[in-house]
Amino acid sequence: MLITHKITRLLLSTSLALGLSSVAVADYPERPIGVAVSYGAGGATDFQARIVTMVAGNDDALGQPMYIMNKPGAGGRVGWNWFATEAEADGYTLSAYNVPHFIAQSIKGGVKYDVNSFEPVANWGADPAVIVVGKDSPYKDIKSLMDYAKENPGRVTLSGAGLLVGHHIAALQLQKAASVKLAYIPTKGGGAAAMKAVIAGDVVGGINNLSDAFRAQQAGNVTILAVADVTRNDFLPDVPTLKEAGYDVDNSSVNFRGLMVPKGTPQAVIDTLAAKVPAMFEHKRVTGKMKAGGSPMLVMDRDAVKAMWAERQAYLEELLKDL
Amino acid sequence: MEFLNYFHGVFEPLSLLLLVGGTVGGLILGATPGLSPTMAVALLIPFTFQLQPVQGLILLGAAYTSTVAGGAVSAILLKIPGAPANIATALDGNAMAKKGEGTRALQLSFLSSGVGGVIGVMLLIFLTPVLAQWALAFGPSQLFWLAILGVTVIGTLDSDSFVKGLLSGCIGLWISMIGYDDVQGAQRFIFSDSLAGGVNVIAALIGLFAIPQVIDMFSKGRKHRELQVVKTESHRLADAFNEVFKRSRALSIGTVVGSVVGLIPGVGGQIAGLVAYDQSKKFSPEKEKFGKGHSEGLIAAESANNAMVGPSLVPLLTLSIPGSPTAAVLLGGLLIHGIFPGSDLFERHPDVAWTFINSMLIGQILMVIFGIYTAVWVSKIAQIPVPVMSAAVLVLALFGSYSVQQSMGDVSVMFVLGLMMYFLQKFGFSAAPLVLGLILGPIAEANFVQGSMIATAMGVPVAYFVAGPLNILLIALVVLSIGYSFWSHHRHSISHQEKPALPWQQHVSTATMILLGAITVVWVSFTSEPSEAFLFPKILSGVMLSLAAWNAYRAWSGLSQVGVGLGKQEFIYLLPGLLVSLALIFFCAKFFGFYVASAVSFFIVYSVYDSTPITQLSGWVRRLVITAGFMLIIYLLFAMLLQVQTPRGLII
Repeated sequence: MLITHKITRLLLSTSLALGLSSVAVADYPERPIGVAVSYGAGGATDFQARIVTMVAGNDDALGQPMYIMNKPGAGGRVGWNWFATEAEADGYTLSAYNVPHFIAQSIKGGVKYDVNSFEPVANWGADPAVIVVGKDSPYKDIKSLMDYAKENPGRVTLSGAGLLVGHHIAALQLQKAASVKLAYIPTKGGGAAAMKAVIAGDVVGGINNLSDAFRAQQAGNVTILAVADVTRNDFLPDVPTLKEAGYDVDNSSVNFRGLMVPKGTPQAVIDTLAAKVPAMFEHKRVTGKMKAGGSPMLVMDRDAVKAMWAERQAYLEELLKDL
Repeated sequence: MEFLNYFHGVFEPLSLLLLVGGTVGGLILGATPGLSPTMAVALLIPFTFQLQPVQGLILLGAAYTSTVAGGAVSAILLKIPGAPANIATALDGNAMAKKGEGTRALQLSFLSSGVGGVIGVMLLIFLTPVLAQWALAFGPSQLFWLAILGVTVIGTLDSDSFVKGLLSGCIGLWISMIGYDDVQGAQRFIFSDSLAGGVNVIAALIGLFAIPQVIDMFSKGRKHRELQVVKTESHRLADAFNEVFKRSRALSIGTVVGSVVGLIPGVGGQIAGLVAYDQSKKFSPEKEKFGKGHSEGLIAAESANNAMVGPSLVPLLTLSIPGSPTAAVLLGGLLIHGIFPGSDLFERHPDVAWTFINSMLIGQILMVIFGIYTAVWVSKIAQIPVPVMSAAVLVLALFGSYSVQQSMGDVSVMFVLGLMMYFLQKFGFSAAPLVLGLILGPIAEANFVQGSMIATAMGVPVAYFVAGPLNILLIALVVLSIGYSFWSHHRHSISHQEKPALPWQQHVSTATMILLGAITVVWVSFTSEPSEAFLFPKILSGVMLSLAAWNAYRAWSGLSQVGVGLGKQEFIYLLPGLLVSLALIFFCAKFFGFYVASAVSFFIVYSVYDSTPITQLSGWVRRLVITAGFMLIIYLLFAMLLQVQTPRGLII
């Protein structure tokens, strides 16, 4: 099977190279573009990706529709491994990225990608982590929760959507900042499962996406105690940041989401995408639906994302050294 | 009774059209081997972008309901479950179809689905607040015991041999551990790149059920004399009606099990049908008839997997927690339209929520009507000539397994598993326990690990798993289930009287190979790092080794009596088909493009196995036309309707 794979790749890449050299850039894109999402259908990244790629078919956008391919597994590793090693770099296969997830995973090791395996195109969302507790919880603010944690090291269980995801990073930072020992419980099943654990009382509290927590709070099932960001969020004007509450946690756990292409994609294709995709993200229909879904947006262009990735790489290397 | 106020919304022209379209489309998609309800709903989401929220939901809800019911069609006629929910249906349903009672099986199946489904939606309408609380009562500990309860069912499910049933289940459990461990991120048993993501359940389902059927058809050669053109008897609908209600015990067991299982988030309705089948077998005075074409199991399974639909929406609508993979996709669909499920959904958007629920109710009834209406001529599918059928299923397996995640890895895994299952089946192993193990493995392990983490953090490592009324109830059920399995095996083995049909050497050689396999798994489990991530594999491989040893002992002493073995003649017959399949799956599809490679393979397989003499020109023409026609249908279905992007390779 490996041999056939190699021959196939060789033949394919040869014909591809021959083909590409004769394709005029002005023709890109000629057919629908696939966007790989490294998480299951129905999750936050998935439905946000579906919304932001809704208008790709418009004439003033890319002119060709984008379709989503779910490649879930192992917190995103499966999809990104595939993207780094098997996706064709011809501009017809993109992927959604989640920072800090893929960077943290590559620093930890055991995966086939790192921050240099991909070329960013544009960023669409910035979903900070928030600390939540169930609606019947005795802890009404972050301070009382942390005080309890200080007296009872290792007793405060906090659910999160997995290891080395934004929630986990926030938990690590909070532990350091408040000098407490927390029990981070990664769940299988993404943010929804982590939220369920909080609502059901399986855990003392949880760290989750602002978007999911916002909706759960609106429905009256949880209370958001604090936001892990540098400024308060527009969706939650009354919720303090962890910094304001006295815990020095910055925005390194913010879940940035955007689109990227594999390394080796022709520069002309990257330039076309980098020019058109940010505008696509800012289309009224897209921003309207994102707002309605409680998903905070932050559109960043390619250069800004490159800088962000580099900065995150440096910070996470430092943070995860002690892990 | 608020829901009564919103019925008019369902009957608005566009909504009704979507409901009918979704139902009919769902039935067709569900009946296609290889397309699961989850995939069908996911593939329909882009269509809903242009619609109003209510209309989009109606479409998705109708698709959800009918794909589950439609899956019974291919389960009954082809022994290929359309979804994990239909595995139990395939067990007895196909036996009935082989006896010519296909129409009856289909009618029973749709009627039971309708009854179960309507009751499930009624529960949703009237008991949502109560049910929501119950959904939350299942934490990691309870889910773990529930998964173990499912595992105990494995031994008695569709197996003439208790050992082989358990071994099958263990193999399934082991396969479920392949890939990255979800909680700690360790790599386990990844001996090939395509396994990095683990084994996808749908791809495995297609492989384990469809491929052995295909290879089996190959092994019959060109003459296929004994291949029945069993005449499908027509069956009066009224009789089916009476029968369904006569079997009220099976019907109630099915509905209750389906509703309960559907309600619990994290278990998924995938096992509803299997558990209902098993429970109705345990409570039935006619146990021996199960698996040979007895209607009780069929009724229980089908009513369960539709009863599951309504309650699975309870945690979704009230807490935004999907109770099954398909419900997760529905959640995405809801969010895209700006509808946030939550306890206030019914206050903020009563029109959307109630109209949607009412449409599910009407949808169940429509599904029964359409299903039964088409049952008569659909059951004629069982009469399609074998060479066409085998070629068609092969191509469908390729497309179906690829469509799940657009992954060639899934296709390869599908075929390898199928090949393995073909040989295992010849020696008395069954696919149903294996799939059950595959589905339950992750649930059992994830909840055990998570529960342990919480328990350790709270300082009560053991008590966490045994304290509380729900835990105790579940543990009691587990003990009862194990006890019953042993007892029934003991009783059954005394009366079991099959003539040993195959040579001792074949039994011994397979048993030895399995034993070697078990030893390998044990060795890998105990020597891999990080050690904590391999806790479950260690326990499992220990159990597997004991079972493999017991099985080998039985083979050596000539006690093994099940299985028919593989004859030399059969092996020769199946070789051409097998070689074409291997070439298609592992090379041609990706290199030449799915459609071209499939068309060529279809034509070759059909021609090789067709009984018409080679020299007859009309035969060649007929085969060309049918190949073209079939590929056109495939193209319309996958490329146009579902918009699955398949590798183009050199051509298309």
